Amino acid sequence: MGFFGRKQEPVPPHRRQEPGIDLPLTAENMAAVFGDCADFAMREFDIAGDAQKRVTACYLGGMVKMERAGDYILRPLAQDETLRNLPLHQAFLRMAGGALYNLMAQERDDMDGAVADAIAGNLLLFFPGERSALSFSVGTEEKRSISAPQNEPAIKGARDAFVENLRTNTSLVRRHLRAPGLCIREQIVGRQSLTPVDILYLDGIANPETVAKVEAQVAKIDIDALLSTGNLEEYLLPAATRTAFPLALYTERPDRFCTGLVEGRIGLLMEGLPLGYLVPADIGVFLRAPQDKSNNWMLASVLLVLRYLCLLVTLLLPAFYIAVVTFHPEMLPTRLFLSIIAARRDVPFGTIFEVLLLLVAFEILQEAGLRLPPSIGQTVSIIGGLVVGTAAVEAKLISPAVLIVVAGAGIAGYTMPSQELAGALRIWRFLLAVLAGLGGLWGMVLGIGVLVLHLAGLESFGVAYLTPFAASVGAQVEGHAVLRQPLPKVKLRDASLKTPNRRNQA
Amino acid sequence: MKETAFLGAILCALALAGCTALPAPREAENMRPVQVLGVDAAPEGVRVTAISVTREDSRTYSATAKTAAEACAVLQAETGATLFYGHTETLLVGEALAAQGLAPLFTYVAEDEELRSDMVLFLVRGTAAEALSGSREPAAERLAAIAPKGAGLRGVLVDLSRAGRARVPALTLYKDGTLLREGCALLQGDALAGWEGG
Repeated sequence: MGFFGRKQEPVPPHRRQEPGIDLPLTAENMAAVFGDCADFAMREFDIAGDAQKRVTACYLGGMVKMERAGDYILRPLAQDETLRNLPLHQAFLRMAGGALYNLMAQERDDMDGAVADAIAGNLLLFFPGERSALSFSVGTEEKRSISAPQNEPAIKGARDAFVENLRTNTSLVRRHLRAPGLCIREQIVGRQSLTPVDILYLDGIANPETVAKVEAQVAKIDIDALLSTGNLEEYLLPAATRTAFPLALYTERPDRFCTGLVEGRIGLLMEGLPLGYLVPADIGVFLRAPQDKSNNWMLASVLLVLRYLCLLVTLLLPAFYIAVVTFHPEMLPTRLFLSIIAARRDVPFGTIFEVLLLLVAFEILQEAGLRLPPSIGQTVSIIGGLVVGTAAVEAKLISPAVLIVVAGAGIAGYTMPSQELAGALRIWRFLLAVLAGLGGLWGMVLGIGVLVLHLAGLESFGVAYLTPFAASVGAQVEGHAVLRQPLPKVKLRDASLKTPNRRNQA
Repeated sequence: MKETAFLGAILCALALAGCTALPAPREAENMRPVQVLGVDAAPEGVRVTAISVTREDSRTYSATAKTAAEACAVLQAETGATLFYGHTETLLVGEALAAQGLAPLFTYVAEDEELRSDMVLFLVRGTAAEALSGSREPAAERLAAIAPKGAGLRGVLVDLSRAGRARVPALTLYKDGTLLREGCALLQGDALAGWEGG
């Protein structure tokens, strides 16, 4: 028996077969590869009606837009008289050179490339006697239309959000950032999903070393399928598996994504996910909301300070309550202490158990609300929060003070712009509450020390997580760690990102 | 690794300092905060009178022993609830005990982890127990109403240590149950030297 259960049998290594399909590139082999696929279609056509010049088209139904294939490929193929008079090889070269009207025509000479094209929605033309096939991009463009962001609402700002289609997302970025220096490098991740992942950065602004690191890290990802965010995050940043805190900032807003690129960060977009990642990310980034730069700097600064206070409240309030009420009641004002004594009369549980119980109940309620459709979720929240909460207090199962403390900590957590940061704080809130239950303020301070040590040990692509509080790499901190300075005064990019060009305005 | 080393260092430091047990939690509902503490001379030594007021009731506890510390321990033993002195705001000392000298009482207050040095000190003409039990109004409320601002035990201790004498607000209980702050008691060294005013 191992420490975590039954000892696991050794499994063979996950070897990659190169090439994936070791067959000559022919229409018959394509049919063999897609033998059990009902959506695979193969049809023969005569070039300009000449039965001696017969080509074979292969495609996957549903992936190919029929009108486009008919208008741009099959119609000229059947009607172009100039093709009739050419030998088949010359016709092949002519079509590759633009005789067919399609914008993208590529020559494929291996099965892996041809199969990938067919899956991507290309139509493949096979010529008898030719070792290559022509691949035409005529894929469907079924996609969700660009809508307003759901999780990052814009009060004063752009209202477009990323969608599941990668090319649409890169076009959104291009529309916000028209610089020719915007580089988009693509890699395919996932043996089964073959998901395109694009790495975006601004040449001359992003640190080339960080770009290289990100590219190398993406290239190292060798998994079956890249279908969820975790598939990317945990492989991109190995440290992410050792911490609850987010190390990469995700956003569904192209304007925020582009702001990150302009700051010198590196962006990642992937097919199928309506969000983009920005790295490197430090803790300050997760506390800044997208609308901070839209608001007046004074208002934005006040809100930022409030957010930092809320971070402390959501993290420490339950632990502080336990510590003060059960270990250090002399810290409380006498009237408050008398109120707590009166509120706790007839409550059957100890303070520590009561707080932990209510924290768990709060998490259950939140989880239940999330998993249900919005209309039912709201009902659950109302029933759970108001009805059950009030009934529990009236039945003397819990004291109103604890209810206020746990609810206050929970609500303070909702002010975090990053849900992932809020989630990490929820976990540490539990740990600190347990430590406060064991050792009072001493235990709580010990927990805070461990937390600070943990955060100080985190890095996101070479940038310390506590930047700029703990590590400003000796360079001038532009802007402010907590406050937002007027934008005309922030003339340099963040030094921690090690950008080749720090100046961001005249 | 760093976390482990940090925790190891903390645990070693605690073990070396003799802290081998975690503090014991105390539930608030089992505690009775003592707001007023009266101390008098008694044939056995010292008599301690404690008044605890909560939202539900007001209770007076009394015990006699050789020292104030012992008397408080007796009070704790005889009372079902845990008496908590962290919120004690007023300390009354009887005339007879003040005449004997207050050094043992001050030492106890300074060494006790719960009693605060910023509580108000009164010297009572007569005994503290009589002042607390004979007051027409609830004693804790009355004392809170007549307590001088900014005059705490700490100030008295500082005066005694610097000048060897100090003025302490004095209390008088009249026959009709009126408890009044009248004049001052003069402490010389640690003992009552006389009264001023009132």
